[in-house]
Amino acid sequence: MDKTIRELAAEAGQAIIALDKMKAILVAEEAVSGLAPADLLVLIEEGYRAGITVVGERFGRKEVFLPELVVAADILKSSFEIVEKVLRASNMAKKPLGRVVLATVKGDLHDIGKTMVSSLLTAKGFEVIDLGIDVAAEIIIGTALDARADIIALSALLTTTIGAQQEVVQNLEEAGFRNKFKVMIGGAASSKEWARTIGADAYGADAAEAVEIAVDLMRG
Amino acid sequence: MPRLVPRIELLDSEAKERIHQASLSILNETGILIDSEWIADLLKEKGVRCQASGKIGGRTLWRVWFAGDLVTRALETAPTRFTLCGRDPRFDLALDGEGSAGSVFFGSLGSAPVVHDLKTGQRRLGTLKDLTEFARLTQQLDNLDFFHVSVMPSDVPKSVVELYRWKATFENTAKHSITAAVYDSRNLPFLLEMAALVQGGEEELRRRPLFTATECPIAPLFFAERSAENIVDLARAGLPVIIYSEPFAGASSPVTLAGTLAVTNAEALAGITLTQLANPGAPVIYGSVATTMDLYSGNVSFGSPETGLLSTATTEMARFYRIPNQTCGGRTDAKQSDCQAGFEKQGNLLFSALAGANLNNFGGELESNYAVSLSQLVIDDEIIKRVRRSLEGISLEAETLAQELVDSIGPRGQYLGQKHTLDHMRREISVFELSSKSTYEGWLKEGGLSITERAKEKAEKLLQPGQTVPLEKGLVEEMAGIIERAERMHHENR
Repeated sequence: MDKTIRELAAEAGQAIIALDKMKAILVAEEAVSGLAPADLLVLIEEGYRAGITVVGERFGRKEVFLPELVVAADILKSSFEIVEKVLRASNMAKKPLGRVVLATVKGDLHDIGKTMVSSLLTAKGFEVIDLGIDVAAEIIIGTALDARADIIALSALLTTTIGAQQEVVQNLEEAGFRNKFKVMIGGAASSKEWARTIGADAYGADAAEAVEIAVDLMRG
Repeated sequence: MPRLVPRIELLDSEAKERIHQASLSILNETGILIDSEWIADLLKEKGVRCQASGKIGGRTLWRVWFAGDLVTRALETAPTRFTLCGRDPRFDLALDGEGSAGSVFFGSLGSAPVVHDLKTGQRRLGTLKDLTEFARLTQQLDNLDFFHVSVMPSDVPKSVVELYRWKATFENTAKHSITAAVYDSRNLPFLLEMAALVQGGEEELRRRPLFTATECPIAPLFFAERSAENIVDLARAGLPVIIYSEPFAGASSPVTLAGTLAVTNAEALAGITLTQLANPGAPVIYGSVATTMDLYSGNVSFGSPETGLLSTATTEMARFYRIPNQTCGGRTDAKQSDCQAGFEKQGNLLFSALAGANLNNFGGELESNYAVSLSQLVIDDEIIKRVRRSLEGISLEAETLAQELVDSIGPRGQYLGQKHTLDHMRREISVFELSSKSTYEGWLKEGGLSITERAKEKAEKLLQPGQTVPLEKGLVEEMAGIIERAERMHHENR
């Protein structure tokens, strides 16, 4: 092992900030072949996460744009997959911030907004189960039950499909599962008013806000 | 040269040809995705290359490649001129795909879920009553040529929401109306029945189409089940459809405007080709709601200057194909009727109107299409009046150049009481009801109100009770009966 954990962590952070996917993955591979699992946790926190925090702060100051934040988040995710495989093998994987089942609701085939949310939630430390588009209420609820999810996140772009967000909440209530999950909604057609109307717990106006409210929901 | 009119020209003929070729290559090599088994069957029958390509919600998706000659043939059969009709012929819109003067029309913005309440200013979900008021106000405002069904009401049964929307529309405006035809294809026969009833029979409806359907591909290059099937069903019925292509640059199309143009144009061409394969000669409108992504939030930005450029360029592509078109010029991302709303709307509307876009639907719009406001609709009526005047340009002939008059008045004279002034002033200089042109003291005397306050007063005055365009006796009840039958059908098929 040539490099210390500090050096690798610094390189990992820099790679995220520079949006250098190749470098971020090389660092991860170098780390898993040479570092002890306890050091890998340090690499995650003081390397990759420190990097995404810087990108997040720059985004907050409007110095970088959303596509850059999404790319940073995706690089983070790819790097984590390498590191976490090793951590899981030694039972040292850190618990996620929360588990989110995410879907675009039935009848709606719009993908992009939901994918932005998925990237940013993952970067924040959530485990995201992305069910894709046009997903029926029973599949969303079934997956959330099986995965013991904390949050169900529902996207709808069309004014004609926001009714399917309501259906999920209603089905949860009727089945007696409403208290098991927090429900957050988003997408161009939904709104704070709509969240109130259907009894969802929160509404996120854009991808960045979705992450904030997910964090709030986990705090209870 | 009696009248000189301003025009924007952004694309030269080489640019148009290059974008055209890029779109043809997208359609021929990349292909589009269609989410409908029977449309795929229809296309295969016509010799179009289709290939099963994954599944969604249990349905097979079809990758479809349109060869260049097929698209070219579709462009030849798609009509250059046709008329969108009102209940009353006074409101007919003669569309010209070659963009002759007088073929630029303006309308309201449709299908917003949220309404800014006229009385309280409160922001809330829209209702059927709101929709009725938008239809009635659009009817009353002279600069609005057509009604894009403004509101998505939250208080009617979801299974037949479109039929409630169409009934309220046909009842409250005699102008041509546009919006998505149906959200459930089983409702289409009921809509056609309703429209035929109002227009005096099926044949008459085809001859004088009372409504135009907006059918949206999902960018990039994906035609969902409903829109693909509506496009074909309506083309077969001989009713006009707008291929409402709405990518936002950076997210659902390339961040570069040229790349977004190629994708938008490809989607429009794909939709146009679908209509012409289903029924050669069917009226079809090249639509563009091409916008940009806001780089901070990831939201769609209608008010960006780039959206204005995209509206201009797509209009020029439609002229290149000699097909009538629609754009989203005149929309804003502002959250209230403020200065941002004013400059974004007027700025981008000028771009699409000066390019000669046939249909410009935006009136009343706020919040990037998310909300509509009656007072904003009144303000937009005035913005349209300004733009119309710009379109009329300058009349240049002996009478308007007025050399004799200038000579006879001479230095230090005045023109106020001249017959020439009285003869020409109404044509030459426009006047406005809302914009303040008086002195500060004069403005105070008139109440010292902001434009939004004056717009609110005007909207309230125009919305006095009493139907201005009543339907023939019994028709409203018959339409209600049609909706009842549709509801029963949905109930039985649950």
